Amino acid sequence: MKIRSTGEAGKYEKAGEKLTAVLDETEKVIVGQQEIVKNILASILCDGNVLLESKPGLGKTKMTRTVAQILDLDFSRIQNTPDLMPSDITGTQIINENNDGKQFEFQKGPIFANMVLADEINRATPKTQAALLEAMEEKQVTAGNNSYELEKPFFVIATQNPLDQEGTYPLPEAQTDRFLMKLKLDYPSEEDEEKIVERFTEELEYSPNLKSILSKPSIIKLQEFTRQVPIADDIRQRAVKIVNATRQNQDLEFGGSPRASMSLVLSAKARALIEGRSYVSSTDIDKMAKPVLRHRIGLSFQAEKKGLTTDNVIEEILEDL
Amino acid sequence: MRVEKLLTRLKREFIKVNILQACLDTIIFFLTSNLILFLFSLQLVSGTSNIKSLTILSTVFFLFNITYRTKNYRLEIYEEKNPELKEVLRTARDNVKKSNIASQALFDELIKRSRSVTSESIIPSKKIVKKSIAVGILSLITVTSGIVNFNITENGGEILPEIDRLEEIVQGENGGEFELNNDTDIFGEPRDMNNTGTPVEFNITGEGESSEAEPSINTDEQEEMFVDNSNPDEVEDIELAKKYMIEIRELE
Repeated sequence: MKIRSTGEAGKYEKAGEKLTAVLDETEKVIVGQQEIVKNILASILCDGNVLLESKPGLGKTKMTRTVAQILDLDFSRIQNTPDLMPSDITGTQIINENNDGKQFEFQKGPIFANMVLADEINRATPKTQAALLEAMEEKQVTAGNNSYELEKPFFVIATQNPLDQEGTYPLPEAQTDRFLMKLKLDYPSEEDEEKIVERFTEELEYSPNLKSILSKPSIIKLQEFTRQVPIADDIRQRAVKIVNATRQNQDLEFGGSPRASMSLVLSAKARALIEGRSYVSSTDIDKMAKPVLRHRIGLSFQAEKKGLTTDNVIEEILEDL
Repeated sequence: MRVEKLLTRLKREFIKVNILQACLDTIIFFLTSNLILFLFSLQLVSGTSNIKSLTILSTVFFLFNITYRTKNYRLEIYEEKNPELKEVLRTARDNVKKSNIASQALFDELIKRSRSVTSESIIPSKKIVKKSIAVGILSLITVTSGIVNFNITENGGEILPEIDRLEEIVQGENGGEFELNNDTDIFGEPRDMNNTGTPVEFNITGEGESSEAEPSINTDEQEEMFVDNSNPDEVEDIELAKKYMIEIRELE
């Protein structure tokens, strides 16, 4: 007896191939950091946002801009400062003088893009942060009496500098929970750094011809595909167990919320799709545990005193389960 | 539907492997039993050749073995033997009712990957090799036993000698055919006891005198009281004793 496969899987396979092509295209500009790029792509597929913690000069803007270009997304960058007002992000009403006379017109802010890089979000005041986070959550902006829908897909990468904490307004836990992932961009290896130096010092402006692999509608379609990726019951249970374990861990002041469990499963699905798999593996759950949970859990005073990090605690939980 | 077919196919593969295992076990059982019976010159059932008895026993052993193995079928067995299929199989099983593009892709992938699941991938190869070696050695010894007589005991006897007697009892004179009789055939017609006879009347009455005086018994009578004439030797002795007594009286 021969069992024939149907052509339905063809579409799914094609999606996986496209995502692999996106990663390959990113490598034309970005050296190394494949895991970070993969996680950013996973966030886009989950329709989530990323909090990127990175020291200066590691190529956050370059990376985000490159991904936006490959995905054919409108890109904008917001440099957060303490004097940045919410209207500087969302937009403001201006008086427009034309043949009909003077009229108030809404001038869209930089938030009206598909991919927004909010640099050093912790330098903005809580009021401005709240405006940005509201836009992230609601996918719409309210100015005056009017609400303006943000164009889909909408995706925010907010960055934080872990070194310079003076004069910053750290994001409250309730607001960090709204980010799907917190990624830590670390220094590249020596070998990768050599390549970076070589690549960006030989030309005045290194700008390879990047192809747009995906379009906006296809990204939305991929977001639907991501939610359809099948997951085994026991693997879903493992995700819930991991999050539940963060609530009972002695080293943690508070653990992940049910939103954390949802985010973990969804990110694992996205990762499976990127990897070209039609099912979620337990490895996907484990790989996504740190990016999804590290900003949703809080270390206890004793754990901080011991020098533990949230990543250490997550590793311990994964080993125990 | 396709996944269900696949699961059926996997079960068939599993049964194939188990038939092989059960066959090897049965051969080992047969050869070992045969060898033991030969070494100790035993006969399993009197009146029946060992080969015949062992063939029946081995068939029963094989049937039990295969039934037991097949009953223990679980999907997890494939997951253990094919770790690369573990998550796909489990996910397919948990999402078998879904019918979107992603789940269809999963089912297709499972079917594609399961083509590599053959009998070989789920055979415990080490066990099979060990069993095959055991079969080889036992066969060699069995063949040698036909050439060289190396029995440990010459007259081992029969393991189940009662079988003959049992057969006789069971078969009876009719050569295996017997009929079950009812109690009438065995004990005859039942008879009712008659208890309507005439009652017998009897009366015990007697007469006699009791006297305080000792009954006068003469010596002869006295002697006779103690004499038991049943033994002729004793009679001679008594006669002799009488003679002596008379002689003593005359002397007195």
